[in-house]
Amino acid sequence: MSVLNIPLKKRIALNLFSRFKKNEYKLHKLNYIFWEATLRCNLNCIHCGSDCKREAGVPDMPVADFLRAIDEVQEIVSPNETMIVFTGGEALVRRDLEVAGLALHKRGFPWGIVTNGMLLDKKRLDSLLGAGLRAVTVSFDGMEESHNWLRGSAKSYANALNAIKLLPQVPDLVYDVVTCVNQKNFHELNEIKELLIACGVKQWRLFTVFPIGRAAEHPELQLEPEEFKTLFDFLAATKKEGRIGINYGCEGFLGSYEGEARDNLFFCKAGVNVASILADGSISACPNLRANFIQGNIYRDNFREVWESRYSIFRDRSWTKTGLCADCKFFKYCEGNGMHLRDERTGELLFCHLKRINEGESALKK
Amino acid sequence: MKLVKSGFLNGVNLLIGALLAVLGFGASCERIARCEYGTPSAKFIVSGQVKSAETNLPLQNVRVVMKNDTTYTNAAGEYEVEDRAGMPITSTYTLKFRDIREESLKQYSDLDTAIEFKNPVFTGGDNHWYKGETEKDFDVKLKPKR
Repeated sequence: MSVLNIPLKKRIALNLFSRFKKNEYKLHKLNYIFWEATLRCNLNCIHCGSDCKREAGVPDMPVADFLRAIDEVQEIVSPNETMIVFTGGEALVRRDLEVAGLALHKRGFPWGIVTNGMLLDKKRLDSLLGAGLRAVTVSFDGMEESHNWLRGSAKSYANALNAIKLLPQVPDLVYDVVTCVNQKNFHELNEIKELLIACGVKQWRLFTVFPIGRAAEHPELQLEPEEFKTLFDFLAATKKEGRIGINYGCEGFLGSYEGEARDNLFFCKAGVNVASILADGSISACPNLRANFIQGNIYRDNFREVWESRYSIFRDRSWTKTGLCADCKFFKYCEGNGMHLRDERTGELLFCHLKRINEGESALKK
Repeated sequence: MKLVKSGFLNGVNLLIGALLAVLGFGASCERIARCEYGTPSAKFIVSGQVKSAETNLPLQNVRVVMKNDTTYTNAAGEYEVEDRAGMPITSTYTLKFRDIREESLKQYSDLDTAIEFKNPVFTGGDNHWYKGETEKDFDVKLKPKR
């Protein structure tokens, strides 16, 4: 069955979900906040989507400044239902994450981290748990050679794997492993899957490289169309198998693979439910939305006012109906794909999942 | 008006969520997917007796506040306050004692004091996020107002 032929039941669901999304745009309920805690990083990954460096030009934001911004939105959110995620750079290079985490806990917010695992040993994990850590995402980008290649460090695989092995030992901690699928690790997906299952991992999230950040300079990191299409067959088959929870990231409309490769139907929640505070104080939607997507700055603006009065480009996406999207019959379901896949300056679509899968189908038929 | 509109939209989305669940796509409408996980927590209890520093007699109806918990001493001057959502780590609480009794009675000065639970040992945890409770006795003597 082609990716463009969506069965009737799924089309009904997508139409209903389209209405749901429209209502969510209007409700504009903030319930997910990223904090780019630092731009410093202890790795030098080829595909990095952020502007991070080992010694970042932007100093780390003081915890007090971040908390002041959080306090500004406290009245318009339900803290217990609002997740705050520390990201980077590599968030764990900051030694004061626990200070920020504990302060959030006292305000009633759950919080989590995204990490490359280099610094996540038992001692640090215990320290973070003691400060109220609820969720962890560890990046794991293939078997040893592939992972170390992508991460630019001979030690990164071992450290990431050690970190992953710690997580199932913590009762009730929610965690997942995220893998950037590329040409190097594409043929290892089954091997990675078995390794993660053996480690006790319950949730695995896959994403593909999109052309921003350093990845823009490495187009070879992107899967060929045939591989791209096959990836979704792998996702659907693994989901059906049920031995490990598996999801494709939140980055694209997948046609007939909707509901097969992800638990949920496609919905880019950037600026609808998701906001970010970047390292320099910029207020954005997702951390990888910069330049023209920036909505304000915590050093100039009140976070609450920004959330309540701006973000219009995220809540009305009719402006994305240009170029490839202009005549697309799936626009109603997709609405311009993930916002991070629009050019930061021109707004043009950089990558269409549906088109790439369809190209893969055609190539495989030949 | 805005609240009514929000309520309506939320209601519609709840309905859509139910319909999608029937169709097998219920996870799509989770507002905050996999975010409410539980958190490490513990109960910190402080109990004790409030007496007059002058007469050494118990003082009734003194208000005692610890974080979000407020109580009043009983006839024996006894009180108990707690933090049900503390972190299971070394923690310090501020206890506030206020004499709010009738003005016809002898008045006592306010007292704000800190109490530390250093490396606390917890009992009665559930082997998951809740680590259990820990307790400290803390008797105070209030000085009369001059």
